[in-house]
Amino acid sequence: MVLSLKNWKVALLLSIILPTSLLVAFRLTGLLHGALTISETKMLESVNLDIERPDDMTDIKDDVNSTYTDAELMMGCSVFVDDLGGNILSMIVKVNVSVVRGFVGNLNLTFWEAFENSRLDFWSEDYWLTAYSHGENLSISDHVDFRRGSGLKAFLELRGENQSKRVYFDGFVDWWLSSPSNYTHHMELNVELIYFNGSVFKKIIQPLQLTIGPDNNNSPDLADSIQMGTTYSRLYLGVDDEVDFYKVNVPQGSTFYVKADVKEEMHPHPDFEVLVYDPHGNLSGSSPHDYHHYLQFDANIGGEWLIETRVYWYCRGFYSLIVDFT
Amino acid sequence: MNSFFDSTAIFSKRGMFLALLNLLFFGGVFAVVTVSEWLFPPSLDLNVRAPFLEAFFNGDFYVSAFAIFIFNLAWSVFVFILIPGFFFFPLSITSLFFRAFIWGSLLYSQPTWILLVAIPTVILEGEGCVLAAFAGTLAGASWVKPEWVYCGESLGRREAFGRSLSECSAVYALVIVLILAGAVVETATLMVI
Repeated sequence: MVLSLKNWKVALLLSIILPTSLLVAFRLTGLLHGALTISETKMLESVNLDIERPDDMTDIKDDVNSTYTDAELMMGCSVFVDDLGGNILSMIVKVNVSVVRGFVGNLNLTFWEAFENSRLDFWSEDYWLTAYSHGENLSISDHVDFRRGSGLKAFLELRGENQSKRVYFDGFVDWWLSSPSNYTHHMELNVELIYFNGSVFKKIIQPLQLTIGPDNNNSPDLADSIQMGTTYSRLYLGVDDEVDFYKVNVPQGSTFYVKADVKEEMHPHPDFEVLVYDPHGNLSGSSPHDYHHYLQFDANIGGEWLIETRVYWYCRGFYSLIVDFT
Repeated sequence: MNSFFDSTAIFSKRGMFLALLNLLFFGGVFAVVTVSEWLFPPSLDLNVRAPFLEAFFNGDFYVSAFAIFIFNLAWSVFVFILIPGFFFFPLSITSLFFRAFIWGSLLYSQPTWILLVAIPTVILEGEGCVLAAFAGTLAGASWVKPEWVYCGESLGRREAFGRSLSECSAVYALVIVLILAGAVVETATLMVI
């Protein structure tokens, strides 16, 4: 009787202790690891794109992009700004990720702006990943756009499918500026990648910043300083921005040229004139209304030379400018 | 105190069955955790906790502990495990295994530290469920086959059922103690989480 009493008590204890101990031991030794937590978060350096704000429908066709590579992954992010039309900036966001080991868990995009009236529109997002957007090894788990107020304007949460090592996404995003043309907007897109490297989950955040606003170099006193030998592109002239001024430091006795161009495949492109003044303010040369300009000078006076670009009646668009030694 | 001795006497006669139910529950939790992890690779814990925790946990320790105690005793144990066994005795065991399945499913997706702090709650509430299933099976089997429960005693169905009900109440007193202790520990655990 005593033996049997002991037996069932021992069996009772073992039936609790044995499975529970096994569970704890398996977890502590890593045989079972349960849900994992993000062990490391890395914030990458922000990349920026400044765009001069056109005052009407204009091709922009410029992009901001970043590529991050380390021993575990390669992540490429870009925002292509196509054009501005009707106060709406049309963009394409692309993200391309490859991990060496493990898999991509989540890819989240968040769009932030302080200006209250603007909106972010995921254009036809109901068809995303099937039309108007492409994705490889990704599915949309949540998305919200057209948010009102300051701060988070839109977000898109994508989930990695089939524990894939490579994912790709692109989609159309319209940025409704909803502001007068002299207002400067700043938007930040955070591309947040969560990936499993074979042993732990890690998070990488790549911020991409877009600024769009009018220039301020509309008089000789406000002329932008430029460097010899550097090409400046995405310079805008239009109805509300008829003239730009630039100053460049030229050593005495050197020979230099001023070259200004438009890309004729961009629509519209401005017909404009270029005027160059010496450091005393005397007009040294000019190029009449055209799309392409080339002027050459002997700098008999050293100092800051002034360059003026002036658009022809009602023309508008982007041009580029370079000043360099011959 | 009498209830405790009463229940000890009840268990000593059917100790191995009780041990088997324990093995079913705790082994079940272990098996579900293991198989779930094997079938569904680990997902990332984004620190999102189930909203039902918030519903119970309103900040007041005693209110929360009492709410958890009442919910577990009335719904999880009495309605879900004990009573079904009265009508069809395998239902108590089925419900017990389902309970193990729920615990296993909840625990498998948790990070290790949460699993470790939840173990005392699992043991206390789990043992309460096991005893309830034990009582439910006993009562349910007593009117189906009295000789299974009271072998060697030639009892009629009504007599066997009446006796099993009195044994059930002794066991249920122990269940109340375990569920109460489990509710206190669970509330403290939720505070940590």
